[in-house]
Formats: sequence, structure tokens, C-alpha cells
Amino acid sequence: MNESARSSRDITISGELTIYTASEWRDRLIGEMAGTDDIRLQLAEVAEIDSAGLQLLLAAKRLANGEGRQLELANPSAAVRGLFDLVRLNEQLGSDALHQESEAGQ
Amino acid sequence: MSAEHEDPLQTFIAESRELLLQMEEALLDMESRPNDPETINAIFRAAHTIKGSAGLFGLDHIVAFTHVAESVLDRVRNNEIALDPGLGALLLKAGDHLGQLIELLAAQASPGAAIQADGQALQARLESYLDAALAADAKQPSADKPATTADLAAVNNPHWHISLRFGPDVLRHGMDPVSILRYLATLGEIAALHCVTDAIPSLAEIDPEACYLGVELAFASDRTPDEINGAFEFIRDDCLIHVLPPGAPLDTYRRMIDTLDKDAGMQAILLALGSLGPEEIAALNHPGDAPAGAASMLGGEVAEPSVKENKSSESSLIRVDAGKLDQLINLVGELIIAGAGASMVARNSKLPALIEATTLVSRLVEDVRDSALTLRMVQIGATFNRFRRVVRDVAKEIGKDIALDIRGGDTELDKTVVEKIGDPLTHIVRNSMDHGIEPAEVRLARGKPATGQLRLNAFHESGSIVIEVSDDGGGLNKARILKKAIERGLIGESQALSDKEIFNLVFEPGFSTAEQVSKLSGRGVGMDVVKRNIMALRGTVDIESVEGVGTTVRIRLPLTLAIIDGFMVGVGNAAYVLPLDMVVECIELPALPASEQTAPDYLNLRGSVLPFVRLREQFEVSAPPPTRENVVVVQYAGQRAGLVVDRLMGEFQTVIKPLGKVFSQIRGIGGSTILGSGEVALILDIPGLVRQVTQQSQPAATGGTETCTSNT
Repeated sequence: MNESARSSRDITISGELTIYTASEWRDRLIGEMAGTDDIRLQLAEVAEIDSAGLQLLLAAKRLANGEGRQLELANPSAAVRGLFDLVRLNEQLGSDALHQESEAGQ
Repeated sequence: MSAEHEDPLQTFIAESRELLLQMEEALLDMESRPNDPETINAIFRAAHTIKGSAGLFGLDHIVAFTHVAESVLDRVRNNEIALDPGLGALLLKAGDHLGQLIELLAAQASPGAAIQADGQALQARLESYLDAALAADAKQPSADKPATTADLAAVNNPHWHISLRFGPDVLRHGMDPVSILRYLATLGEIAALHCVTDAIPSLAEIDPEACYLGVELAFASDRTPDEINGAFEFIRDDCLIHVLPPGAPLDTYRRMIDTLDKDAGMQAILLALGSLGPEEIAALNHPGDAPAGAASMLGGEVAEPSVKENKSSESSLIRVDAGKLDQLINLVGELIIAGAGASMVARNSKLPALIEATTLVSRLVEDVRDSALTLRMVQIGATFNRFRRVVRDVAKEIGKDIALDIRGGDTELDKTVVEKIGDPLTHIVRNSMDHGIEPAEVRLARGKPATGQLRLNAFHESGSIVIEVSDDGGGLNKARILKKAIERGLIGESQALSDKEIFNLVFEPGFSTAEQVSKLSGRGVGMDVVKRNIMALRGTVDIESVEGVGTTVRIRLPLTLAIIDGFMVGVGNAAYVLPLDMVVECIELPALPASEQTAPDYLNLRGSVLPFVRLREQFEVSAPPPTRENVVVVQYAGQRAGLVVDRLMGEFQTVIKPLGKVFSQIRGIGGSTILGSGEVALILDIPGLVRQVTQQSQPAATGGTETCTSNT
């Protein structure tokens, strides 16, 4: 499959990504992820994230991967990075778990 | 058993009894909600702990038996065997058998042939649940008891290993796994961590408010196990938690992996975290000849996660010898008496400063008394819960469908009372099930639901605790009771009795109305014993019943047997004490109208008739009555009566001392107490007096008497 031929789309998540908003974000993400293209989740504006939010990101990734699509977590905000550091998901998911732009971005 | 083993052995026995109770409760829970992993774990842990401890004492027969049960439970836990009702019943029986073994141990006897045969039969049935290979191992559990050295050897890991699988409801309960990790990080350093995300479903299927996360982490900390366990205090009920201390035996790791075996790659994770080295992983895969279930029973206990899981709740409880507690209560009793003496001296001295000081001391003594008494208070819930098993078994045996409804389980009462109420309660419950609740066909014919309802209820009422056993069965047949009572010569043929009196006839010795004598009840021994046992606790029992609708047996017991708030009254030179809780009000005895020759033994209390008893006559006090007498209105079991006394002397903290057997025939006296002056005061038996008064007055005052209970 030719990677470059596929389009990549940005979806921006902003504000709270927590248990309080998880349902809402789930529905929005399902809606916005419709299609067959690759996705880049822009996380720069996530002000707050908890376990529910983390699960949601991983579930989104799982959905995309299941459909043979790429899903990238890009430009994590400080809150997202703090959480990923705490649960060491960077190492676990490989270096591309959080897109490299993050290092340059901050 | 050598002498130095005695004390730990007692602890083992006590703990095993508790664990068996927990196990039984959990098994009964399983019947209503099968496949709850936490409940299965609880059952497994109970069996496992008993086996481990029994192993330490060299009680091979208990180890052997428990091992089989545990192996079955292990299979259940791993979803290899389904816990169907048949297995549930078998495990309950196994628990009973273990209970028997433990009781024999407590009695320092060895199991007889019958029990051994029972055990072997149970063991064989349990083994049939295991596959052939495992059964072969299980038959010689003592042979593989010494676990392989590799299993007992500590692992090299200098860190704690903590494994968390968060339950689905953690987030909904307001707990966030991330915050727990953050908190953990304040107790030490998270050296390595692996986030277990395999359980997270795809976005399309995710329940955004359920938790799917798990964590494996290596943790460097010098905190105590309790402190580290404390971090998981609030999620313990929902989550699968393993906390292995540094250098835990390899076997504990194996058990943990077994528990989590649906998470693939645990070994790789442990290796990556540095919790286990490559050789240790290799040893893990070659467990020697011991099956996983048997390997842990020695040595592994110290670090066993199951034990630790219980620890934090145990650490807030202290096991105290009941004898020490009794001694404390006795001392508090003496303190009260001595305090009353000091107060009296102070009052006589008329020194304000001294009076003030003794008042303060009295108040503190009262507080000490209250808190000392609460030490003995236990909730009745544990006793009630035992009946879930009784009801289940009896219902099965007699082929009726009966649901048990427990209410007021958090009602507290004195431990000695709780211990002694179990047997009478069992008898009443069995009676209700056997004779009260009708067979399903009869129930349907009567328009009732097929499932019979049995309810246990407890609540506090004016210084007493009331325990009710109600059923929605056929009720008592008055005509049959009367016929039987006349047959047995308990009452005369023409005697007219109130409903209540008729019902209370069933407590007479040798009385049974059941036409069919069953194995459980109906032989006419029992209800009288029930009544006697309850009376011995200074309680009363009565019955309310409506034919065709149901029966309620109501037991009233004093809250405590040791110390009460008393109300002191005087007649002549003597002082009498009655429980303050039963006092409703005090009034002046109206002067006898000149027209009346003999004084009546009732008075008009705001329009209703109040029968009373003159203590002067009751106790044959010879001193002449004062010009004005007082009436203390008391209430017991919904009935009011008056006591005519000379003087009202006020509140008095009363330490109840039993009366000697010589005085047991005296009516109206329940005990004695010692006053501050050193004199003895008698404690009035209010239930007895109320009964006496209301019975005397009823025939005389028919039509006018308002007794506060309606006899429906």
C-alpha cells in the first residue's frame, strides 16, 4: 500500500478529556473519524486528561488500526505528556506514540 | 500438639472459623450472582489461607482436604470449571466438613471414622471436578507439601512488584487510576512501569466511563507493606491487586501470573520491568513436580497477596480476649459504685469545690462506662447472615421455595446476648419454615406468591432490642391450639383467653400443634426451651399471628447485661432501681376519695385506665406509707403500668449484680446493685411486674382497660 497516496486528516481535541467529557468525545471522534483516511489527533489544546481520556485515545488508535488506518497522536499538551510519561506509554507504544513534533513544539 | 503451639493454634482456630463463615457467605452470594470474580477470589482466599496455616501446624488431614477444595476453586477462578449450583452445594458441604475438623481440633479430639468417611466421600466428589491428572496429584497432597527450593527461594528483585487490574467501575466510583499512580509515586519511586492496555476495546465498542486499564510496576520504596497497601484502600473492592514485596518467593509470582493469565505476555512484562530475571522466568516455567496449587502453602504465606489484601482491614481491628473485656467492664462497674460513694460523701460535706469535682468525675465515669459497653456491642448482622444458609438448606430439604429478607443487620447489641440468641432464633426460624410457610401448591391456592417470605428484622426500642422473625405463611390456628391445650390440661375448657394468651400457649412445655412431626420441629420440645433461653437473658418473647396471613415472633432483649441507667425509688427504708429507659413519667398518686373504703389498684391517667401495683404490698414493707405517694409509669412491650412508691430518688448508674439462686423465686425482682453508701438496692423486674399487673387487672377491668397492644 502506498503511504504517501493516502490523505491524512487532523482532528483537534481541546479542553477537557476526562471522565466528565469522555462520552461526548467518544461520539464526536466516531463521527469525525468516519472515512478511510489516516488521522492525526491534535492534542495541543488538551487542558486536562485522566485515565478515561487516555483510554479513549488508545481506543481510537485501536479503531484506526483495526481498519488498517494510521492514527497519530500529535503535539501533546503538557497535560497529555505528563500523563504519558507517568504511565510510560511513550516507551511502550514505540517512539511514534506521541508525534515527534512534540519535542520541537515545546 | 506441643504446648508452645497452643496459642497460635487458638488463633488459627478462631481465624479458620471466621474464614469459613466468609467462605459460606461468599458461596451463598454466588448463588444469586454467579461468576463474580471478586466473590470467587474471596472463596479461594479463604480456603487457601486455611490450608496454608494448617500446613504450618502440621495438620495434614486439614491440608489434604482443603487442598482438593482449593484446587477446584482455582479451576473455577480460572474459568475452567463453571460454578453451578451442584458444585456450590458441594463446596458448602466441604466448608461444613472443614468446620467439623476445626471444631474437633478445638476440642482436642481427632476425627472419628464417620467423619473421615464423610471427608473422603466429599473429597472424591470434589476430585471428580478435577481432571484425571490433577486428581492424581491431589490424592497425595502431603507428598508434595515441601515446595521445591526454587519456589521458596526469594527472587532477586530489590523492588516491590505491584500488579493492578482496575475494575470496570473504578472511574464511576470517582477513582482515577492515574491519581493512584501519582499517589504511589509519593511513597517511593516507580522504577519501571508497564501499562496494560490490551483490554481497551475499539472506539466503537468502548464504554467511555468504564475502566479497562491495568498496570504492572516495579516500585522502589522502604515503606511498610501496610503503607503501600494503603494506596489501594479505596479501589480494593473493585480491583485485582497484587503487591509483592522485594524478594518475594518465586511462587507468589507464579500465582499472580496464574490469576492474570488472560493477559498475554505477563512473563515478558515481568522480565522487561526487571521484576524477574531470565533464570527466574525459566524456573517459573519448570515448576518442579509440585502443582501450582500445592506449592505455596509453606513459606509463601508471608508475601501471599491474598493475605495482604485482607491485612489493611485487619490492622484496624484488634482481637481481644473476651475475658479481658469482661474484666474491664467489671472494673468500670466497681468504679461507678465507688464514684457514687464519693459523690455522696461530697454532698454530705457540703463543700462546693468537692461537689463540683465529684460531679465532673461522675460525668467522666459515665462516658467511660458508655465506651466500655460499646466495646462489647456487636452488630447482629453476622448472626442474621448465618440464617441465609439455614434457610437455604432447610428450604431445600423440605422442598419449599423460601426467600429470606434480612433487615436491621446493623443493629447493635451485647456480644453475650448475640451469642446466646443464635439457638433460640434458629429454632423459631425452622419452625416458621416448617410449619408457618405452606407448600407452594397451598400458597398458590390461597392466592399468595409461590415463594414464601421469611423476614428477620432487628431494631432498638426503649432500651431493648427487638428481634422479629416473620413469615407470610398460614398463621397460627387458634382453635387447634385451644383444643390441644385443653387436651393437655394446660387450660380449663371454659376458660376465655385473649388471642395473645392463646398464642403464648405454644411456649408451654410439651406443646406442639403440628399434625405431622417432621425431622426439624414439631416434636414439642423447643418452643418452651426457646422461651426459657430468652427469659434467661432477661428478655421476653411473644407471637402475633393472623390466620392465613402470617406469623411474627417478637423477641425483646435488654441491650446490655451489665450496666444500665437506672431510676431509683424508695419505699420505706429500702431503695429500688428500675431501668430508666422504661420509665415514661412520674405522677402523684391521687388521694383516696373519702367515699371509697378500699383503694382501687388502677387510676385514671388522662382518660385511660392505668393499672398499678403498690410496691409496699408487693414487697411487704411494714413501714407506714407517707402522706403523699408517687406513681412511676413504666412501659414494656407496649403495655403501661404504674408502680406506687414513697419517694422518687432520681437517676442512678446501676451495675447489675445477679441475685443468688435462693431469690430466683421472688417475683418482681431482677437483680441487685450496690449504692454509693454500700447498701444494696434491688432492681425491679419491670417486664415481670407489668405482666403481673396487666394480667390481674384485665379480668377485673374488662371493657375499660386500654392495653396498648391490640391483639390482632
